[in-house]
Amino acid sequence: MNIKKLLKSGAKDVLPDEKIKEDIKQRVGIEGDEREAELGGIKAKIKNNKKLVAAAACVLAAAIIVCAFIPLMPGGNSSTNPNNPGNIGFGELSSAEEVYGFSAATAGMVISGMDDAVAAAANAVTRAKTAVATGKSEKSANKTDGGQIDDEQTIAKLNDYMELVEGLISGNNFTVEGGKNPQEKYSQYEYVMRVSYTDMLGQQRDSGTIYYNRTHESTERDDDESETTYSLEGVMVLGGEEYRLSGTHVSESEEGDSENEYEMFVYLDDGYILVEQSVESEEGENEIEYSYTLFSKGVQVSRTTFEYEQENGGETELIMTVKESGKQPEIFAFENEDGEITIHLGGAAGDVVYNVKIIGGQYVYFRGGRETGRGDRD
Amino acid sequence: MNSAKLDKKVAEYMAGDRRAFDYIYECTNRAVYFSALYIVCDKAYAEDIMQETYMRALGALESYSRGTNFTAWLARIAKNLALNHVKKGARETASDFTDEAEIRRYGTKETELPFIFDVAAKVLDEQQYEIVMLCHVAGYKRREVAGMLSLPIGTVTWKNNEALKKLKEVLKKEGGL
Repeated sequence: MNIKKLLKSGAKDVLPDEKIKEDIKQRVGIEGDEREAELGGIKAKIKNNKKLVAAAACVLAAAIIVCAFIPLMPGGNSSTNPNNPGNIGFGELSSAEEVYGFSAATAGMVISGMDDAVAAAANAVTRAKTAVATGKSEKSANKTDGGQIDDEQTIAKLNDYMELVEGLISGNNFTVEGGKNPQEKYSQYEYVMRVSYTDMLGQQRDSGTIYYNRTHESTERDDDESETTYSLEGVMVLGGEEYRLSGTHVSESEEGDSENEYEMFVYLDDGYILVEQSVESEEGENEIEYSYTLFSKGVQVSRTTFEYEQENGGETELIMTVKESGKQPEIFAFENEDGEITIHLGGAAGDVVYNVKIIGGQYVYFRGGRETGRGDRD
Repeated sequence: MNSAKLDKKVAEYMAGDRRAFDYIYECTNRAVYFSALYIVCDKAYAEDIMQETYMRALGALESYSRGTNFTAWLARIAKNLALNHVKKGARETASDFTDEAEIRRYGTKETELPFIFDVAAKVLDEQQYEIVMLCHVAGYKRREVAGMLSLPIGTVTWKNNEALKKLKEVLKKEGGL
């Protein structure tokens, strides 16, 4: 029995309510001049900051691409290898700089703008409508049993989930090129990294150029335990604008177990994006957790977390949690068995289950063995 | 968590920048909460005490000495409030406890926690409890917990392992595993 897991599973019953912070602020008279805006299904509390509105709107869209970061190395060995260009896919990432590159790319996608998110959302709805129309005709042709979901919103959401899972399985969504910085501009930074990615619509996107320095801060040893800390500091250039960034990497090892934790801050006008990742290897089990959190004026707007578990090379499971400020978190669990993907809404024990197959180049959703609808696959 | 930055935020708050409260709260609330929870063993009471802790602390920030660990200062306030709470509850039930361990053991509860948390509060000392809760329930990294509790990382690691071993032994004995 794993005591740590027991404790972690009880966290939701033990941790304090989030409203306490707001109660305190109210009692001491701290008020925010906030307004709410809803974009692409994401609510963002902002104050006249278009970039942050766009960032919040992009959160869910970017989450789909962020999932490509998830299969970062079990064991999490870091190597200082800035001169390691190439496509990065499932299980290929191995250097701390590449992790930083992806972290910055995540933030870059979030910053890239509301237009992208709106376009993606519009495309998702279009695909959903197409799916419904296709599904209806298919149903009559195939005489499927059970009810077909003709809810465009549900099908659009399922298509988004499938984009996310497909990114995990196929990988190769990102290209990272890096090395010594040869330019006179940003000459105070020793290294440069350029990241590009393929978005949901199959288009190649530039995710910015990062100029940075990486510093070995400390190494502490205590018997067979060791902890090494690195820091990263630099600037990301995206769309002609500069965004300051900073990060840390802590690598711990103890009796054959290891844990690597990365965090990166990308600073915006009135807030910042925090991208975090940890890789823990213990007793044959590997756990990878990846998240990014959007802050505006010190207030958390939303947080998306991905947890990937693999036990002794056996079954794998991905849990995605999306938490928006003031709302209950939404949890999705994805399992992949012999190419068949299952999505559980509400976590691994969730009641709502979808089985997904790809038939004729389209996503086909089943619930309880019934065909529920179809979605275009990009 | 950066304790120098936390002190800076405290200074900013004292200077009138109320936005600093968010950072202060995010960095300290878990340690404060578990300090209270260890004593009262009840989520609802611990939440009330945590709220009261911040209310008192924010009104008395001038009594905090910069550079001496703000989180620990808050946690002490929470602990005292928690002890007072349990003593008051004990008085109201016509009991007379003076020993802190007795106060904790026989205080009244409003909500039940999962079994393992009750066990943890009973068998672990205060520091072990805080470390385990901050590491495995609140999800902090060991170096962050070391910063909060002003302990070397090695000590946090060692105490964490000892605490987990203790819990495992007790749960095995009680048939919880």
